[in-house]
Amino acid sequence: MDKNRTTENCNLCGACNLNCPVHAILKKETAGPRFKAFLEKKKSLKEIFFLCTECGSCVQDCPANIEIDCLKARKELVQQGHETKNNKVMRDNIKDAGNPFGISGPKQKNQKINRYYT
Amino acid sequence: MLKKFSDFVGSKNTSDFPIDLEAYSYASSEVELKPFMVLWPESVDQVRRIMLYANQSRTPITIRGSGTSLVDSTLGENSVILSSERMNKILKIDVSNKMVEVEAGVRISDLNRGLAAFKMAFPISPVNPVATIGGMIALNLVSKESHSLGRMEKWVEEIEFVDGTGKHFYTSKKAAAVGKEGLSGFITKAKLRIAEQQMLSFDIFNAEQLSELLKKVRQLENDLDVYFLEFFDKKFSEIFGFFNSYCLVAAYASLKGKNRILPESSAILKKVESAHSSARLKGYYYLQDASLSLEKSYDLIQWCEKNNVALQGHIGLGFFYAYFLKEDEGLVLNFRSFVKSLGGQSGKLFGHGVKNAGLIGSEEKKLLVKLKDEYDYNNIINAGKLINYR
Repeated sequence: MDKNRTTENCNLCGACNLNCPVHAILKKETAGPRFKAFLEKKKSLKEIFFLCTECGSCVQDCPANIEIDCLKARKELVQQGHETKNNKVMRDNIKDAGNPFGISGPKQKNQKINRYYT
Repeated sequence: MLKKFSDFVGSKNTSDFPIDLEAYSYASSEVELKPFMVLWPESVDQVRRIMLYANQSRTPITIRGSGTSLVDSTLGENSVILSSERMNKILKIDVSNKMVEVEAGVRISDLNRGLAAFKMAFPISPVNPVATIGGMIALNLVSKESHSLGRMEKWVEEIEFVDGTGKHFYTSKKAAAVGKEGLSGFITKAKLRIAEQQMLSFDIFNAEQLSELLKKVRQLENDLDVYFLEFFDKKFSEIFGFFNSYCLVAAYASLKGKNRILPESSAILKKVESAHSSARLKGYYYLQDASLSLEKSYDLIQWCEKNNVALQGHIGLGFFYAYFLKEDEGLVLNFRSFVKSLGGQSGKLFGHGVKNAGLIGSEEKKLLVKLKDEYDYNNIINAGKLINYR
C-alpha cells in the first residue's frame, strides 16, 4: 500500500469517527477508527481491532484517504492467541456450518471460506 | 472515587479500564497524557453533580468534545475526562424563528445533516467535520464564512453551562464561556441562530505576482457583497487548475460572481472545502494557524514558499492555515517565531490550550484570571491550560 495511505501518515484529526457505525452506537473514542489508527501507529495490537464492521466509511471520510488494516491486525492477534470469544465462535461456525451464525445444514467443505480465513 | 462518580452518571457512563484511558490519552496531536477516569454524562444534572463533587474533592477535570484540539486542550494527565460524546442530541429546531437548540456534544456535520431537511444550515463551518458545538463555542470559532457572518459568538443566542463549583447557568451573557476554551465550565447546551442554505456565486482570480493578488484582496476586502475571500498559495492553487500562480476565490451571496450556475458554483465550493484534504493527500502533516495584517501577509506568504510550507487562509480576515511536511516538524517553531516577528500571533484560530499558552497577552491573562476567580476558584477545570492559575 502507498505509504501515505497507511496510519504512518495519520495525524489523528478524528474525521474518521464521523460516520463509523460502531462509534455512532457506542459513543466513545475507544470504539472508533481513530483509536485503532493510534494503536496501529504504535504497532500495539489489541482486541479492539475486532470491534469494526469493515464498512470502510472511515477511509471515505479521512482527508488523507488512510486505510486502517483491521483484518491484518485480527489475523496477527489470532496467531498470537488473542481472540475475542465471539470471533472464535464465528470462526468455528463458519468451519462447521458454512456461515458465521452457526445455522445448521449439511456439512460442506467450503474451500472459498477456508482460503479467505487462512 | 470510581464508585462515587458511577453513582452520579451510572456505571455504563464511567470507566477506568486501561483501554478507555488509553483512548482518551490523545487528541489531534502527538502528545499523550493519560487520565485516570473517563465520564460520559448524559444530562446537565449529572454534570452538576460531577462538578460539585470534583470541586469538594479537588479532583481535576478535563473537558472533551470530539478530541480534535490541536493545542492539547482536551488532554489531562491524571485527571478525569468529562466527555460530551453522549450529550449529542438536537433538541429543538425552530425554522420560523431560525433557531436551533442543541446539546453541546452535537457535531457540526450532524447538526447540518439534521437542518438540511428543512433547507437550513448552521453557516459557520470548521475544517474538521467532527468538531462539536461546545468546542466551537469554546474556541469562538472562525471559519471562511466569518468574513461576512462574524465569529461563532454572533450565532450563539444562549448558552447553558456548569461551572467549576457545580453552579448551573443558562444565559445570554455568553462572555463567560465563548472563546474561553473551557476554563469557566462545561458547556451543556446552546441555542443557536441558523440560516437558509446559501446559494453562492464565485469569482476566481489568479496572479503570478503576489503583489498583484494582494492588490485584488484590498479591492475586495471591504466589498459588502463578498461572502468569503479565500487565499491559496501556489501549492494549493493547483486544485483550481492554476500552476505557479496564487489564487483568490471570492464568494458572493448574490449573482455577482461570474460562476453562478449551480453545477459550476457547487464544484468551486467543493474545491475550496477540499483544500485541507488536498494538503493531507500530498503528505502535509502538521497544521499551524497564524493571524496577522494584510500588509504583513506578503512576508508570511514568501517565507512559507521559501520553506516549502503550504499556505491558505481567510485572507480578508488575516487568518491563515500553514501546512508542514512530517519531516519539517522543526519548522513549526520557526514559523511561530516568524509570525510573532511580523506582529502576528498563533492561537487565534486553534486556541491556546497548552501549546500556545505562552502567546496570550498580559491583558487577556488578567481577564482569564478574573474568569477563574468567578467560576472556578479551586481550578479544577482544565488546569494548566492557557494560564497558570493559583
